[in-house]
Amino acid sequence: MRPLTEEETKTFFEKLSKYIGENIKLLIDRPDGTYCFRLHKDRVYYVMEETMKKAANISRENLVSFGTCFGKFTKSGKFRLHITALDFLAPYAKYKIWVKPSAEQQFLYGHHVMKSGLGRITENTPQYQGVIVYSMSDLPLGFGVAAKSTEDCRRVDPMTVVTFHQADIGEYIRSEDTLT
Amino acid sequence: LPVERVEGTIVAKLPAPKTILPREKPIPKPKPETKWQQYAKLKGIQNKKKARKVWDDEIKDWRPTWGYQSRVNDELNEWVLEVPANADPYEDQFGKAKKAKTERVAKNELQRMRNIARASKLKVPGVGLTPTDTPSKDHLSKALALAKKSTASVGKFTDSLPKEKPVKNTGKKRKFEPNVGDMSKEKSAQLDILSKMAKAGPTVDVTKAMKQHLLEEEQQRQKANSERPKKAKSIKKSIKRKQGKDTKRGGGGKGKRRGRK
Repeated sequence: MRPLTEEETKTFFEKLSKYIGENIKLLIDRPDGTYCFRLHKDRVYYVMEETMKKAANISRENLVSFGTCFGKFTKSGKFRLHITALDFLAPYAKYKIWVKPSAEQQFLYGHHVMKSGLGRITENTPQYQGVIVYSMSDLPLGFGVAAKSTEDCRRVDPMTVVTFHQADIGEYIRSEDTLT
Repeated sequence: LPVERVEGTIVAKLPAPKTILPREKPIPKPKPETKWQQYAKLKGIQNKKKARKVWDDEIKDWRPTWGYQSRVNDELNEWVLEVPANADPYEDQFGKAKKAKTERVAKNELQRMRNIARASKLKVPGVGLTPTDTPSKDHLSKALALAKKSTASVGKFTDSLPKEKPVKNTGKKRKFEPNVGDMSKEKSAQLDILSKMAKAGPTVDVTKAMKQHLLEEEQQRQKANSERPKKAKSIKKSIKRKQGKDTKRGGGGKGKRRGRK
């Protein structure tokens, strides 16, 4: 377990800012407790200070997880966001996409969102912007990347992909063993 | 006792032994496994026995499979060696083959020593930088740092070149911040990084700027078109051309961005 180095923090924040922009401040500076990011076996965990201190007493091979895993660093140094970060990123999301009930299942199985399944989209979403995918009942379903900007979304035909799938809550069942 | 005659002498035949004598020396300790043996055990690879001699059709005789008179060392005893197509015609092929052989032997020796060192659990210093034909930038910088340090006073009095940067981390260990450091310091460092990122500002997206520019131009032209219907044909042409440019650029930008994602 160790804190992130400067480059690692930079990469990590860049990825986060794609989804929540400058609201990362609210994750770092929380009024209800000091939370910190820690790196363990290439995964970034967001954890309260006291829990972190207690977890530090467990040896590296035995420690599986602590706090919430936000994602992991790949072997080439890129950061990959996991679905377990959804609870913390959803309230601060800048760009949202609502998906119709008919297309919900498709997204939860890991497919992309077509225009036919698109319910609502926040205004002025730039293309390739990180978005949070919601169901029509405002339940966060996962992360995505906007394949088309809001204006483009209006013009394209219903079979084009409007959101690339990045992570969805169906992964809790599909990749149960790999999530920590 | 029963007596018999063996080769002219009278020999008494003794009965089979009944008492078991204890071992003189203790049971030998199991030898530590080499790296290959560990791997073979892990993968379940069985050792296939090879015959000592192999029939060689060219010589029409039996040759050992390995070692002294086997075919393995035939390349060294060749009296003619072809120069391959991509090699320098003035290169010494015989010398090259001999050097390759010595390198193989040295490598085998090194592996053997490493196995022994691992078994005896002694602290062995690392092999350091091995010479390569094509050193990388990283290799060269390491070599430079080592060369500077390799003096009697361990590099204390070696002058560096005027614009030479000091070495970053020579040792194997990286230094990290302590795990349970000052939390407020950590927070402020992270907020600093955030503010630096925000200060850098929104990166100018060239394709987006181009699209916007072209869109503006198109809108202007359409306005002009509605005022002056005579020039409709030429304007339509220019709009079509502009649209063509637009889509090409857009496609290029998309291609670029997709790779990054």
